[in-house]
Formats: sequence, structure tokens, C-alpha cells
Amino acid sequence: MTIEEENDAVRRVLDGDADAFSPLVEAYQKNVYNLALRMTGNPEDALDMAQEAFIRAYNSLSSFRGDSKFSVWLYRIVSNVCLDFLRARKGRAAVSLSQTGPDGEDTALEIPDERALPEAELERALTRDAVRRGLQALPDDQREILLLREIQGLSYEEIAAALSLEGGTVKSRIFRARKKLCAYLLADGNISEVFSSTQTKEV
Amino acid sequence: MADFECEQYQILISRRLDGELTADEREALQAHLASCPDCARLYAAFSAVSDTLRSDLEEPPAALRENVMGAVRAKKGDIVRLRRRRVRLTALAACLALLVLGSAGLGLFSRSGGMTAASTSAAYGKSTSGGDTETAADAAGNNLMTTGGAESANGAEFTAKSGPDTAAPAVVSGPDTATPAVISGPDGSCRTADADTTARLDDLLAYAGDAAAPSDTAGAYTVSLPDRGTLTVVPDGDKLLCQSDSADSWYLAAGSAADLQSLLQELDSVN
Repeated sequence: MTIEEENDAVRRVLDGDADAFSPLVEAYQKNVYNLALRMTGNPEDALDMAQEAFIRAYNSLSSFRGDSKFSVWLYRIVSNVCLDFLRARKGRAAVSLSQTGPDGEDTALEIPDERALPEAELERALTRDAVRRGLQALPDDQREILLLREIQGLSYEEIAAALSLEGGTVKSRIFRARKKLCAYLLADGNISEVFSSTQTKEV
Repeated sequence: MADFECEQYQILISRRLDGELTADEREALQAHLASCPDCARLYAAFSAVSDTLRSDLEEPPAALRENVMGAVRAKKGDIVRLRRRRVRLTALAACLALLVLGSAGLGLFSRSGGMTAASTSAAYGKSTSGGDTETAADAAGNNLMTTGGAESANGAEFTAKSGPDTAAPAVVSGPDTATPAVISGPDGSCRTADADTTARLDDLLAYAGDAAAPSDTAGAYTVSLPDRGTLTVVPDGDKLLCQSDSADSWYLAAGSAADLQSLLQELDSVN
């Protein structure tokens, strides 16, 4: 959607045309869902959070002023919804055993069946799974900012606006998140080989 | 000194991946990477992670758009509410949760077939006899999610469930489970529900779509549910039409008139 189309859709929704919300959901559901998925670490919670984010966006659409991109405004809502949820989940961590253990690792016994995968794909799958686990091990603020960058593709400036942060903080927090994630992956047996065998790329 | 320098270059590596470098910085980084194997390795690692993250996108379930648009269309102009999915735990987790709660000294009932009319004196933490996944309770009322407000909808909610064929009891805890639902019938009868039944009522009377106001409210029940206020519930054929005291509009309940009847009969047979 172009910015004009987005603003037009927003205007129509505010004028009472609920159906005009549909193209906005269509345009952003994949990014919103994936952000929620990587924030929460599981598909059920991700669906809940993505739904809530869209509903919250719909309900507070009148506060969208159009001085930032709709996507940036929306991702800020998604982030807030997910962080609220994660805080609440931590609050009941003692009983929420299927999701996150005390060390932040997913304790659910989900063992993907990787027997059928060819080797290259298996390696990719292992890397992907390790990265997902690593993400869950990051502090919430680092995970959030890294995802806004990597999944939503926001620029530093947009992230600073979405999270009300200084540009310098954005830069250093993303860096710390990457460093921590890599440290996690290196400590995680599966991936060290991938890393050490990776050839240096042309910059 | 070298470490400090490398640290600076590592930040550049991160910014490089994000397309946030000036041409000069880029050149300087390139020169450093050519002479520093450690930083070159870090660059490789950072970009591998970055590639993985950027390519690891999943298709959202169709339910996402359907649910959002369903809720939005049903409530044009009003604050939209979504029914909150309950947190589902495995039977194992429910067992462990019991241990955790138990060792924390919170009031717990052990699982027993006779525990139907749960005392409301336990202010926190209850177990109800499991057996049916639909009988485990939410912290009643919290499953109606208010969106648009500043409050977190997830605050006090917690539910653990056990499946029908496990020995593990369902665990229900949260501040609101201690408040029983009160049901006044059209014949002037008045019943108080235990925590289990309160939760089932809450499920039964969940929003399932908009409805026109019933033509005849003579057979109306009045149900007060913790956190949801007082509902007027009118059987209409096999359907149940509900109206909250905080809203003018009527809605269709998730459960049927027969569901309500059997729940009330169960309550009567216990009391």
C-alpha cells in the first residue's frame, strides 16, 4: 500500500467504514504476526498478540496522526502489546512452565522431526531453531529492537521514533543484541560449526 | 587499544548490516576486516544471524485476519473486544504448577471427586476436578479482553488445564476465581455457582456474535459473573441471547439454552 492508500483507508475507517480496515490488516498481518511470533516464542500467543494489536490499532486509530508511517505506528502497538504480555507472563512464570524456564529457554518439549530433511536444509533448520532459541534468551528490550530492525526493516530513525529512544541508544542496543545472540549461538553446540565455516563475505 | 578499536569496528559491522554507514565508514570497515580475522569472523556471524532472522518469516494463520475483521465488523464504531484464548498448559505442567503452588503455601484443594461445591474462602489458588477440558476455569472474566485501554488484559489471568484422561487436576488460580457467579432464574430461584461452574458459565456466555434484542424477556435469567458484571440471559429457542448491564446491544452466547439448563440441573443436584 502506498502512504496515500494507507491514509485513505484510515480516514474511511474513522468515517465508520469498518471494511476499510481489511486492506491494512492484509498489508501488515505477516509482519505483525512474525514480530509477535518472535517476541512471544510460540504461535498461539503470537496469534493472540497479533489480533490484540490490530484490534487495539483499530480502537485507537483516531490517535494515528499520519506524521509517522502507519507501519511504524502499528509496530509500536505490537511491541507494547507483546511487552505487556511478556511482563504478565513473567509474573506468572512460576506456573507457566510450558513456555519459558527460569533461564529464559523454551522448556516445551517440541522436538521437530528433522530426519527427512537433506543436509543443507537440516543445517539451515538447526541454525534457524538455534537463532529462535537465542532470541528468546535475549532481554525483552534487545529482542524487541532487533526484530524491529530485522523483521520489520525499520531504519534507526524509525525505530527511535517507534520506541521513543535516542539514535545512539538504538545503535548500541541493536549491537548489544546481536553480540549477545551470537554469544548464545556460539555456546549452543549446533551452530558453532556453521559460524566457523562461514567464509568472510565481501563487505 | 586494539580491543577498543575492534569494539568500534564491531559497532560499524552492526550498522553496516542495517545500511546505516556513511561511505567513509564503510571504507574504513572494509580495510579493518581485511586485516583483522576476529572482526571478519564477527561480521560473518552477525550477517549469518541477520540473514536467518530476515528469512525466517512464517505465514500468519488465516484466523488472524478473520478474527480481527470479524470483531471489527461486528462492532462498528464501538470499542472492539476479542475473546481471549486461555492459556493452555499440558497435564505435566499442571502437575508441576500444583507442586509450585503447593510449596508456596497457597491454598490448594487436592483433587477429589467430591469437590464440586468449592468453598469460596480460598482467596487464591484452587484446583477443580479435571476431566473435561471445558470445565477448567479462567480467572473468570479475564477472558474478555478489553483492548484499546491502557491496561494489560493479561494481568491476573492464569489457567491450567488437564485433559480428560489424565490424572492431573486442572489448576485454577487468580484473584477472581474466589468470587462465585450468582444466577437468578425467571421463577425467582437463586443459585450460587462454585468456581468450576462459574468458569463454565463464563465460557457458555462468551460473545459469539451480535444478536437482535429478544421479543420476549419473560424467561430471562440474571447472571452476575465476576469481572463481567450482571448479564441478562434469555433463552431463545436453542440459543441464548445476552445483554450486559454495561451495554445496550444484545449478543449471541457461545453456549446453547440446553447447555445452560444442564449446568443449572447439575448445580441443583449438588446442592
